[in-house]
Amino acid sequence: MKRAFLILAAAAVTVAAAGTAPPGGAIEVPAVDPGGYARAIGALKGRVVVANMWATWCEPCREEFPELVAFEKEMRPKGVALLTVSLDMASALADQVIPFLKQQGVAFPCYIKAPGDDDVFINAVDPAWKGALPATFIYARDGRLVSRTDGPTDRKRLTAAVTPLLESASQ
Amino acid sequence: MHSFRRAATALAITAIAALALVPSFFAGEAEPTAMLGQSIGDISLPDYTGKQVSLTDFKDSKGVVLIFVSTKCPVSNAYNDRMTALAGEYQKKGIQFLGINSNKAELPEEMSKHAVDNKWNFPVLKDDGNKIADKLKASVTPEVFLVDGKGILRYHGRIDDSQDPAAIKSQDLRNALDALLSGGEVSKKEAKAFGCSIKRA
Repeated sequence: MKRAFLILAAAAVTVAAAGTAPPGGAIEVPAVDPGGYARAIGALKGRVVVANMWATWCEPCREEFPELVAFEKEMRPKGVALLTVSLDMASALADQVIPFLKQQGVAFPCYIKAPGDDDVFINAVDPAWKGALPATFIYARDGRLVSRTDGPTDRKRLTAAVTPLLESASQ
Repeated sequence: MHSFRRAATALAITAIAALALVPSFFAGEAEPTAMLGQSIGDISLPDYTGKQVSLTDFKDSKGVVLIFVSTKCPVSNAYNDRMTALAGEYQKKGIQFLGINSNKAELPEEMSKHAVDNKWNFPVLKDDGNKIADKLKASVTPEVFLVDGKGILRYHGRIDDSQDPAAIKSQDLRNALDALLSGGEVSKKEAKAFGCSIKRA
């Protein structure tokens, strides 16, 4: 518990460094509050951003995750950026979230929601979202939130959703 | 002229195709999540023994708490003890608790075992075809709808603000119940929390 808190606290100051682990190295999963989430999306401006909200306790989320990993690998060269936010409690970071992400071989920014009111975070991400997991948000290249999928999605549907955004932005 | 018409037709087809590809929802704008301040009408569902239970059965109560629950969702299960404790406390004060299971794969036999195993002290109803979840726009488990004695929705959302009972800072359902029982206005009428999505038919 204490270890997880320390990792979370250390990670919270390195939001910009979120993401991939060097081969064999420790993975960093910074904590994001609503402002940190907005900055993480803003930092990817110029790309079509797919943001997935998940948790280790959410079985459909775990089942969906390999699809996200494969989608990101295929679409990264085409201008898509994927990031994920775990909605687990901080106490689950070291023992559940990080091992799962390592097992999935993530090569994209992964965050965990900072402790704080879920209601505030949910409404900051999307006031129309009820907080059901998994949920996937798509942002246009200008950072504008375009769509939300409640429930699991997959590579095919994600590719279909981002393709018009990639094409319209390149015209 | 013909090329303009062809171009317009092609544009329309492209637009329709693009719309078809957009998943689920246009995001960013809050839709009314619940019928706050309005009557939710009657609800009639079978419990896991097949007995029909209606909101009108409790017309003499001071209010009814409807909680969308799941047998499998870890978040819903994290609240089993809290739901039982709240029901035990407030049912003595004239508030009826009712669980509703709208998950298509959670069948009455499983619901029955789950309710017994967790010593639930309130009925659990099966919402086959998720008709009531659709009517109330319920999305997650657990998700609460508190109606007063006239069937008016007074509070919607979470039970409290933490899956970890030791970390609760905001007892949202309890606060709403106390306000209702004291004849006052519920100050926080809606609050969200993360939960499992309801698996609809």
